[in-house]
Amino acid sequence: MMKMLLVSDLHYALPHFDWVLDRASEFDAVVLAGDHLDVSSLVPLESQIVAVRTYIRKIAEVTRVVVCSGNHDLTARNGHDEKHAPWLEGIDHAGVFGDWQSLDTSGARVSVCPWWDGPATRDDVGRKLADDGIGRPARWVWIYHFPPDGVPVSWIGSRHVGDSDLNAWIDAHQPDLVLSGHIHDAPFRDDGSWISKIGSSWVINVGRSAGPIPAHAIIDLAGGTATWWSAHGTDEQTLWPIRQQNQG
Amino acid sequence: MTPLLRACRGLPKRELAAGDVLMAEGQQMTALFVVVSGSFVVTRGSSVVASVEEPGAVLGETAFLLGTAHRATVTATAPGVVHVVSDIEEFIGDDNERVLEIARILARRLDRLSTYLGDVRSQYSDAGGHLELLDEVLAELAFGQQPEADPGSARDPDPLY
Repeated sequence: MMKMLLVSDLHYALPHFDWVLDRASEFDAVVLAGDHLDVSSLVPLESQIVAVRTYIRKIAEVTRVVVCSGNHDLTARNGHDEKHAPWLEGIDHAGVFGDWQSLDTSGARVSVCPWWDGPATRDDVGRKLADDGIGRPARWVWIYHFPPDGVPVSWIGSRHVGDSDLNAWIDAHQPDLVLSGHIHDAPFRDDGSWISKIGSSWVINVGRSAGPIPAHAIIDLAGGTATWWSAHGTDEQTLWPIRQQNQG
Repeated sequence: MTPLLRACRGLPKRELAAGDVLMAEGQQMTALFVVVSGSFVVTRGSSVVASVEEPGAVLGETAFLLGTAHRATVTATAPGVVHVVSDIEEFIGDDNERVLEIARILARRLDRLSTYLGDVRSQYSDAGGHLELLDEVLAELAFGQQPEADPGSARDPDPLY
């Protein structure tokens, strides 16, 4: 089962992409949980996309890449006339799993959810999760940029800013793990955290910190651990007990 | 006299004193300017990125042609004069030479930029990091046709998150 590197909200910080590329070969998968681009950058989004896609291709040369869209990554309108990130959809590149795709590997399924920007796309995401839940393996992981509401990973210091639709889907499907981002400061606030639990589902938001190394988490699905690193501190959490092999 | 300066004969002129700001970073474009005389400094934030002195140089063309805000501030460092082109379609009219001259200026700039960056990539080939990717990024930017992006989220328009 997979050992994953999770980063999010790189916001076109090229040294952070360099760091991820440099470390990628140590993991079975690299998860980029949205907001790869930065709408506030001087660099036009069209150029940012070319650079980020190049990183994604390079990372895919050494391991799998799982990449979902965030609100900064939207560049066009879909068939529902709602914003989406076509450059992260329908990726036909070996080892890259983008919006709407799923990665099935030994004992685990990773569902890549796009940022939804309107009710029709939201309903499509709900249908995707229902479909992906059929025949779920031992571990089911969602990649979803906007963290759920009402938990420490969506705490901005004065209130929670989270996605209540995600709460409903978590309640309905109880995935093992949701990997998110979006709320940069949640891990660094009093009463905030990089990890929360809803029912039996863990949710991780690594946050965003300055410096040459991006905030990140190393998740060992087989070992049942998540290790968080940021410039402001580190932490480790046991997610679930190690499953015994060849029981009985 | 450059071909573009010849093409600007009869257009309105603006006189500038040292210290006058011709265009400001972040300001929506209003016109394209062709330098007649004087000297100008181009700044981004607090960094000086270029100085412009040659008659016939074009200022503000990127924002003007793309309809975006100016990406840099241009300030006169000495008394000068610029032609003001406030209506590009009227300026071009039926004069293909004017179109070609603007295209040549932009192509020259792109060529200088891309060959410089390509050479940086070549000379720092063992440097690692983003420099290793520069060739691929440049090639796609130079020869690809990236669809125009429509940025932002209606659901969460706050660029801070």
